[in-house]
Amino acid sequence: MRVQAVRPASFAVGSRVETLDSAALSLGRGGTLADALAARSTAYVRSYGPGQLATISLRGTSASQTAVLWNGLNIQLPTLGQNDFGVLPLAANAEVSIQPGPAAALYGSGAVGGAVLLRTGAPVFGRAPAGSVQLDGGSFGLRGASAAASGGRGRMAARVTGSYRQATNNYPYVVREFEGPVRRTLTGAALRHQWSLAPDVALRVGAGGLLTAAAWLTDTDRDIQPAVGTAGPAARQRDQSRRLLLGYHHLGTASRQWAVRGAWFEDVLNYHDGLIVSNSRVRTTQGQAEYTAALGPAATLRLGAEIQHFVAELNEYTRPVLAENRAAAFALFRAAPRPGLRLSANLRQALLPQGNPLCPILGVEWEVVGSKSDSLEAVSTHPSTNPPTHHLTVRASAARSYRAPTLNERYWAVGGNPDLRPETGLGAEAGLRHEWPLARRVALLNELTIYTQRVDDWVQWAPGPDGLWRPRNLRQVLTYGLEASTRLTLAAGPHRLAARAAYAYTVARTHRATNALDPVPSGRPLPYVPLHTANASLDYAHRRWRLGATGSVVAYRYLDATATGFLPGYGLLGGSLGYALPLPGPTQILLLIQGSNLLSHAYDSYAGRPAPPRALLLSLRVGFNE
Amino acid sequence: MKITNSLLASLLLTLPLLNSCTPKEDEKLPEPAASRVFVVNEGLFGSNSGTVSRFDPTAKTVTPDLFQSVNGTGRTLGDVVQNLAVAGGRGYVVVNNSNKIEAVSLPDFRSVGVVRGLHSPRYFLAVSATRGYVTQWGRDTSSVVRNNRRVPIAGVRAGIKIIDLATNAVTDSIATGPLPERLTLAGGRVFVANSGGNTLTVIDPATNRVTATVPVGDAPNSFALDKNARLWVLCGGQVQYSANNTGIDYATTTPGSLYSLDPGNPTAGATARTFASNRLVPTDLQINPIRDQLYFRAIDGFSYLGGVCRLGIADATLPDLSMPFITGLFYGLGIDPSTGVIYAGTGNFAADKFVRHRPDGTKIDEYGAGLGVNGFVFFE
Repeated sequence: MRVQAVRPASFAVGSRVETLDSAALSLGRGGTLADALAARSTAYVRSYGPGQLATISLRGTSASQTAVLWNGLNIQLPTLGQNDFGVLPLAANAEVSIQPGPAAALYGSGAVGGAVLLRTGAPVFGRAPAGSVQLDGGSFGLRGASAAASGGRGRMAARVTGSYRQATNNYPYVVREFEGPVRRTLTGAALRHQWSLAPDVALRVGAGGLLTAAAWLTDTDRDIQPAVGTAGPAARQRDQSRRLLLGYHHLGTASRQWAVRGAWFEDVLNYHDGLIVSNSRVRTTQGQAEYTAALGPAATLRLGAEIQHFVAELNEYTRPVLAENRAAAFALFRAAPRPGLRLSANLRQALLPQGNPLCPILGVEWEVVGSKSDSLEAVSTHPSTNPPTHHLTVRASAARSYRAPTLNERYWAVGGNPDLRPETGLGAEAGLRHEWPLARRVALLNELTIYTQRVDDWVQWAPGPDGLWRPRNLRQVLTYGLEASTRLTLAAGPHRLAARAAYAYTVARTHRATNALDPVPSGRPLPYVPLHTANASLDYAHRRWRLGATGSVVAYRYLDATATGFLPGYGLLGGSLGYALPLPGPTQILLLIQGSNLLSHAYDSYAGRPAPPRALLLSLRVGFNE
Repeated sequence: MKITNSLLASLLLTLPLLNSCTPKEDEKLPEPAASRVFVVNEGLFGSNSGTVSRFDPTAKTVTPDLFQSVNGTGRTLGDVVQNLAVAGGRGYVVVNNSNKIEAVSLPDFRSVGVVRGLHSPRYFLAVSATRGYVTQWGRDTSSVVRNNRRVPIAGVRAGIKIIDLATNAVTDSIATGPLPERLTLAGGRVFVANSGGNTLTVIDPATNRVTATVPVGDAPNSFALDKNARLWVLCGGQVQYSANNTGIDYATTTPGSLYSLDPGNPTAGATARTFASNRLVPTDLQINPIRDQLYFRAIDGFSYLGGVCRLGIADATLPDLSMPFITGLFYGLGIDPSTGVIYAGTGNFAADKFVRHRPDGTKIDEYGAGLGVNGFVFFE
């Protein structure tokens, strides 16, 4: 039997991890993470439109307060300190999950509101070659293609995924003018091209060694749509990222593991409009090393360290080429002192140019009803073959988190503030996890979480008597809320069903000014944090048929810190219908039609950015050994 | 599939519920009394968030985004509300980066018309019952970047557009100097501040013809007419930005100046005084009700924010710009013509407010506003 690598998430005792359904991800692989997270997670995505900027807000925090990791490495753009989820195609990632809540000890800078975890997927050895090709065509000039192939032979496993997409996004919208409602067609919002290529290989070395190499190349060329009603100039932006990763994992025994990883990223963001040309290129070199040891039969300790070296080329910086280093050391510990009880204590010491936050996490989980094995891995939600038993787990965790100041915040000319302190968060959460195998082949999983977090040294660009607009540590922000979700899975005869629904109640308010220059009074709700969000999805397969439905609702969002103007709430329905046609041999053809915003609800996801009406997407997929 | 149906049904039931779940109704404020102050909130550039708030000084209430609340959700003023001017029971809202003027009836702010076909309009002035002037910066860029290539485009000349107030149509143009800003009527002539140069364009409104071009200090920006019918012209000084726009080059930046002249004979007997320092830019000239005290802001050339300075029309020396009468990071200024109360608005574009001070400079109170408070209009 092979020894499995211990993932960082397994030290996240007391936290909740949402994993997006891999089958649904596979069918939607021509799209982006922005679409998938908005439809199938509790994360709130602030989207400027299809193909346009899309940022995430987890538990009421800002876009830079969610860490985004690809195979364990932070891929947040070092200049902006955040990710545009509209330029992260899904195709490259077999596994997508989010872990809401502060978790800096596990994921480093940015894991204040939570972390988005992207993985290429574990290598599969000794499996016959498999692959698929998918062609997409849809409304408003959407054209796309994607392919995936994998295979393993002997000590080697290899896989490659690729995707391409373009869209004109010339959809109709209605704007209210003096004459009344006027119907217009959106222009200057084209996704000219977006492609992604992600190969990875894994090689077994010796008794317990695993050498992995992975790359993820993305390239997006798009028009940047000015807000409707403004005389904004036509703008265009090119986003390119090249991410290379080389790792060695030594899995000799279950009690001793070690791993080293090295990565090199290059992120290019070139923007231009009628007046401004802004080109940037950042190269990030990262190294990680960790050692994991079992301490007795029921405890594990991991010690590790990481370093990051950034080199940024930007004309708008105080120096056209500049470098910055960051480092961190961490110790992760988990234990199951008795059946049904799990504990974790994690600690990270970050070393930043402008402060060295120390971030612990303490977590506990206790199976109060129906204690199972003391396996520390996430409990499978797949239908159980055991007799139906309730499992009720109570969990709690507390953590301190941080977000390192971005390169823009430190070096932008004029205004970059090299004295900016990292933002830090102090949060706690408690939750219930209820697993209920309703019948032999039906499983229900209900989860409920309440949380609170206070983020200190919150950064915002503000003017001061120095005559400068600059990022400043201004205030404390208080967030609290509730997350509830339910998931039902069924596998009976020819029926396969997965249904889930999630609801989030999110409050984020300014708490206290810590700087006299803070313009925002305390107690103000943060803009673009909806109080209520909910979504649900259903994926059903019966013999050759596939049926899918998604629904989401988002309540009103304030437009700015004055908390007066707001965008009304909206609700969206999506659906899909597919038919699988078997061909001779292991080949299969799938025909799929998907519809989004089926009720053609007119709404702005972001102010002045009308969202698309009902849109259809037709897909043809040929799979081999899938 | 029972589960499917109930899931979908519950979802559909939730839709109207969440849609109706909007901010509390009690935030709506009662109708104000007779006297009103319109607060001009520029809004964040590029975002359609320009608004006008209504402040009732008697009831001390603020109605945010008056235009949208009167004319319906989704009917917004637009991007960069530069100026609100009042004429003939109407308000003309100049929306700079939406290239239009929204006309509203006053005091109810109901939309009654729109002027289109403008290029970066700045300030409006009604010169008769049927005609209005609006200054516009035009577009003097001779090229733009398209597809990573610089391509030439036709410029749009800076100047004045003449508007027929009955039809809201642009009827003609008048050429001015570069970057024409505020304009005012004095002694039967229209004076236009050419902020991109060092002149005033003088126009006879009866004929729409330029009668004179008067040299003043660098970058004239605003006017005030005093009790002796002398026209005061505030000039900011030419701010020179360093290469790459990374700062202000104070070696070449010229200091601001203050001129006064006789509008009937602007070239004879004018006075000119230059401020001692070029570190701050004097702008936004206002006058008290009895028209013997001048107020203006002394702003940083980079942030456009600063405190309020005061000067008597008979004062022999100019005030020190670094020692303002009212300290603050202000973006807009107005003086109530009946009470002399000083209104100053902030410009942090995150959570702005306006602060009221008595004429002696003591603070009265403050209220929340829209983003970037750049001016006040007092309407009886």
